[in-house]
Amino acid sequence: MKSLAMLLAVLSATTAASVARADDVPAPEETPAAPAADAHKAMWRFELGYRGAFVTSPGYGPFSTDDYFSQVSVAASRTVLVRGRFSFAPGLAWDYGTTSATARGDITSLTMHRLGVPLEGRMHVARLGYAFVRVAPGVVLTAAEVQDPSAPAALSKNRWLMAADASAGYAWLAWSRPEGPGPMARLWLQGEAGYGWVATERLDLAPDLASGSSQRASGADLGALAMRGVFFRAAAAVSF
Amino acid sequence: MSLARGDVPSCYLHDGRVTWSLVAMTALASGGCGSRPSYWDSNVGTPTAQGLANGVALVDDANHRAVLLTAEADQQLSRASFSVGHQVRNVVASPDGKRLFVLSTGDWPRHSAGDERPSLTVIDTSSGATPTRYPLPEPLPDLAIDPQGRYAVAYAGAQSTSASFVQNPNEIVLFDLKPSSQTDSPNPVSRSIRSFGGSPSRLTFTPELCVHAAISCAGKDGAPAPGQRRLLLIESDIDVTLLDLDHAFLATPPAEITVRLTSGASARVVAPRGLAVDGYDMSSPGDARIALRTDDSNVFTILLGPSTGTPNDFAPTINLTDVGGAPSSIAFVHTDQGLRVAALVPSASNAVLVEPDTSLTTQIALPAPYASMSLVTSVVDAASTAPSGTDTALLWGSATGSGVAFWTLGKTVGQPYRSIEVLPDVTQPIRSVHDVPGKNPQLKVLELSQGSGFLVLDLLARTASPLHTAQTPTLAISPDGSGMWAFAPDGTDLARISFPSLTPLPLTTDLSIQAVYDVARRDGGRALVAIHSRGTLGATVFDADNPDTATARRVPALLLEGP
Repeated sequence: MKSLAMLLAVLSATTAASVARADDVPAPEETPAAPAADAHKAMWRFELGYRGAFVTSPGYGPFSTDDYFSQVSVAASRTVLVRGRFSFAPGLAWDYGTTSATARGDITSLTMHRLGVPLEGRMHVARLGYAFVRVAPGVVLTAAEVQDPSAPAALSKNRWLMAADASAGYAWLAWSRPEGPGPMARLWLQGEAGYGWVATERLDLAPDLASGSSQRASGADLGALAMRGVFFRAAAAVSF
Repeated sequence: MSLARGDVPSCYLHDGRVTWSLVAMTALASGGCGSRPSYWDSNVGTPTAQGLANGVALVDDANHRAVLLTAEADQQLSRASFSVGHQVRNVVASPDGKRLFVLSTGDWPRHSAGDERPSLTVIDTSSGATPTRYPLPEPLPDLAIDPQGRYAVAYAGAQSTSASFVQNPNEIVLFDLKPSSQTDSPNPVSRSIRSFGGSPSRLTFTPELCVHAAISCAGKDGAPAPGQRRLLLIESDIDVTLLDLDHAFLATPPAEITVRLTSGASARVVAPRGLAVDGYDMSSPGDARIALRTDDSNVFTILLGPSTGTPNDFAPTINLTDVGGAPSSIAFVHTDQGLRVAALVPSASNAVLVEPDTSLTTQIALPAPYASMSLVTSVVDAASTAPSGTDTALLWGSATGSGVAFWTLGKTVGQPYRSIEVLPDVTQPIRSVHDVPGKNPQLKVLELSQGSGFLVLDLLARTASPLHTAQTPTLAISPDGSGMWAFAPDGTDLARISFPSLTPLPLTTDLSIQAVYDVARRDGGRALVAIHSRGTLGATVFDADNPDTATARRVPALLLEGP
């Protein structure tokens, strides 16, 4: 628990330090010789994983027979700061998921793209791996669609929404290339759990009429959708 | 830690099937994993649509609700959902179109305390008040609504299939829809009608009848007088029962009166086929009369008068008159010689006027075997500078060559009626006659028994204008009388016919039409809602006052809204 608190403190301190560096760069001649970077801590890292989210919003009902939403996760990060056992790595992430079901006999689908900026604080444990906490502000694009035979075209709605994740997990070093010249390639397996938040959206679907169509048609209101809830992610990553 | 929703988590890790047990269990325990509301799993099926004065009700039995569609400006529809009982059996609108009655059998048989009992749900669409739910002692399939809006009766009906293993077909449940706040009378009340072997098949609510003039039949400020009664007339397959509605909700109500039609002297069973009530003057004791036609050649006239006996303070006096053949229609009519019962006997192509007190009859030969009649006196007299005080009836028949005729009662020299005027251009058999309310009461719409097309009859001009259709149409008269609609069932063709010009305006829809409803719009105009039985039900909404496909609007997914 103490370590977790320290990790969170490092996350915020290193973020501030990263910002402060640009204003307060010490003269090169005054800087002591930097130790060689610890490749266990400072690395480029690429993740590919699976994200499972539990969505209890009533608006999710038309699109899934249960409260579960599957996604694929892709992320890349770079360690920018190392302080002893702790490091900080920002990155970019993309989660994609789609679900379909039938609602009262109509075929429905919901697709979601999540673009985030994960800010990850790590606490390294010898050479076995590291624990991390991650916050990831971002945006989400939802695309909902209902095929109802009474409508002149598919009823749909696309919308960008604000989103954020907060999670914690552990990355286990599964394989490492023997040390030597060249990049230090490693394979990581990791798991995390947390809470994902997405702004609430009104599912007032409208018929997707052809552009220029003069047909007058109303839509359907399926209620409010909030794609938020507890999630977990299992991923494999490679680092250099 | 228990799961948040549901006893058994129904989810699993999709697609990747990654079993990261610890993480998954943590997530499951934190967030839970339940199934969605059953609403989304139920198909729409074939909902019952019911037109109302200010909208259209769609009864979504699968989700135990009635969705009221209200027309808005710009051909928009708004939706409001009302909870109704489970397993809907019957849906009826009140005659004024302001209330919706939904009779439900409930979850029968009940397997748990949470299962619903049979009930009647009354939705007042004009006030938007919370629906009233009345419990029923057992599932009953049929429903009769008082035209005056005071009472409703649920009953088994002779032809109904029973939901229960044992059912009493003579049980009726009476509902007082406007109970007095001062009384704590039971409501509803269940009655088992005395039976001599029959069971109820047709129910009629009478207007106020003066059955006891000695007590007083002069009400003040429109309130019923003590001597007035409203009766429920219950026709079974062998007799008729008279039930005093005004005293039916007492703790100890008076027994009903049964008028037996079948004589015990023979095995011949006489069945009632319809009745008429004389309600012209509710303060006149001579007007408390009922006429009944049967499947034999007799017409029963029943005079209700005071009685000193118990339990009712009135009693019937019955006259039996042979009219020479099975009458197909009867009505009380006013002639120069007084009140008469007019009976049409198509087998003899004649009409018979029956003097109700003496049973004296007058035979009148008709030019065709007319089977139905409708009094049009109010329309004819309204246009006359000197109303005759006698009735005028419109006669029509479904037999070949019968057409329509105007029968003007009264008396001229040598005959017991004033005239019978046949419309020579109308020779087709008529299946039914629709009244036109509101602006054009002088018009009647005649549906033909054979072929396509229909006729619009002008009672004052005595003309019948034919309108031809490509196929047999379904007709709907605008409640304001400004026109009518004709559409091809399960087709996309629709037409508006304006009254009195009879100019047809052809329209079309993209989807086939199941039904059309001409309803009042919230902003004051009128809208036509054409229902399409596709998907979760859709509608095309037209401006009924100025219909145009260019301004019509498609409204899809009427029953897909969130629960």
